[in-house]
Amino acid sequence: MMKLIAIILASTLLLACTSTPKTKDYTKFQRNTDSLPLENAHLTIILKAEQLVDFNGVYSSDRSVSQAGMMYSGSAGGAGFLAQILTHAAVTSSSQQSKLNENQKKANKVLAPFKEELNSFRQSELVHKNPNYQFSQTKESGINVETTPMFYLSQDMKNIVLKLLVSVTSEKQKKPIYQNLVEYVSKDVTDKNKVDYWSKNSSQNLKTTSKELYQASLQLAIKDIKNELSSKSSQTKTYRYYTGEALKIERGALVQSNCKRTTVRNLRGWLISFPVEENNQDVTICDSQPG
Amino acid sequence: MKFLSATIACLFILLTTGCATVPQAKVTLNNTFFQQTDKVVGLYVSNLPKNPDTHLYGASCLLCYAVASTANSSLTKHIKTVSTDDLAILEKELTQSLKNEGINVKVIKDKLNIDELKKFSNKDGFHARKDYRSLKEKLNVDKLIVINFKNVGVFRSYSAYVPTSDPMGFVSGELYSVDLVTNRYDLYEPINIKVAVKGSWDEAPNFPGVTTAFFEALELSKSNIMHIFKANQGS
Repeated sequence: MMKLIAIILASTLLLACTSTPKTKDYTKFQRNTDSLPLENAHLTIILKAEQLVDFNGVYSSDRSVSQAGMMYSGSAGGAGFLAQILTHAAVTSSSQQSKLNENQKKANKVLAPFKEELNSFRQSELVHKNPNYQFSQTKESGINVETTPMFYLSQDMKNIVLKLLVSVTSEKQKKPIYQNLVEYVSKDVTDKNKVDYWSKNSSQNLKTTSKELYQASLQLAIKDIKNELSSKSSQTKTYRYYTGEALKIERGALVQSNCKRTTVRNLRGWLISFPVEENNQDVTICDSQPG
Repeated sequence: MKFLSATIACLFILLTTGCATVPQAKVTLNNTFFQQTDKVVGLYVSNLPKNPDTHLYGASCLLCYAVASTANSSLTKHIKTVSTDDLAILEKELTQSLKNEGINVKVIKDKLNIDELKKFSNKDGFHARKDYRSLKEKLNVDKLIVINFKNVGVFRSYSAYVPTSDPMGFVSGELYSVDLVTNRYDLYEPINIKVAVKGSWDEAPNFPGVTTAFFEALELSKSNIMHIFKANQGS
């Protein structure tokens, strides 16, 4: 009986101690837009214009650590034994977090050649004109779409991935009525010298690509907010694409595809949009969707 | 007394070193494999589970394992409902790929009891440790490619009671090809794919992050196996 209690206590405590901390590029998908007429609604896009654009290197999310065995003292009693396990868990959890921080720090070194430009690249440069929405720094009456863009440059500098956190609120409800993440992968840069490509003319290509990615992913998010993105099939399958040389695999249901780009809704409900490989035989129709 | 202790220590060392098995080293596939188009090559996929499972390593005491197992019970319950069909099509895809190279492939569907084969005496690292030669007549093939899956599902490492990794998509096993005349390996490659979850993993009850990492592991193991047979074709 004591053993059973110990197992339940230890498992519960360990579960609480060892779950992954939520990273900034994570959100839980939710939609509660049925009660609101969003089809023709004019939206206000909230973007902190003066804030620096959040640029990162693509990092590894593996935070496993190798650890030598831990010696527990048998004379500590039941409470002492649990305390030892919790201390062990805390030390391990801290090592895991350090490893993840180290992965991110190491990955960000890829941005070194663009450091100066990125230090003055503000979110105001992502603002653009569109008849269906307007930008604001603060919430206004009606439907507000709060956007948090995070850009990731692949380690071989071949492409940029935008992860856009979207949270929709209305003046009638305090809680978000829609919340999601859109991941938008740019097409590959074919120039041999990638540093030159991204940095020339005061990093003009880096800024233009970022702006295009933000615009395209925002429009995709708005379509989803307005419930205009119905899945072509509820059947999930595995999709392969590349961010630079790295093969990426996503599991999800197809939302839209053309000769340039495929968009899927993954198992978390996030929208993932990636360029189609040139030799892909599955796609035939090409429209004006941004590449 | 000292002599007795020394004898016991020597005996213990001899016994324990005698029991240890040296892992099979990698054997790279030679391009001649693809030039022997007159040979019939058997393809056998073994131990592919219909449903995946969680595999907890390092929770080495009984109580530790009970704690680890309980802590991961909802993940285990979920992952057992996911299908491994994506990996099952590997047999078909590899058969087609080899056929495209002009190789006469015969898929072996009947169960082979490889563990029951006799031991093979040549332990130079290039010959199989079991004697596969008896299968030549039985299967009517000249070479046998075996894809042997050992673990398919989710991996999580522990140090006693404490997890040292998040759950990861996991496929392990071995891929090898044996010449049934010489019992020599044409190829030996261990399979060990672990895929970290992007973002948070603790998303009960459907664990979409872990499920995606699992499918990524399936896809990567398939891709690696296909690549091994493709990479050598042109070289």
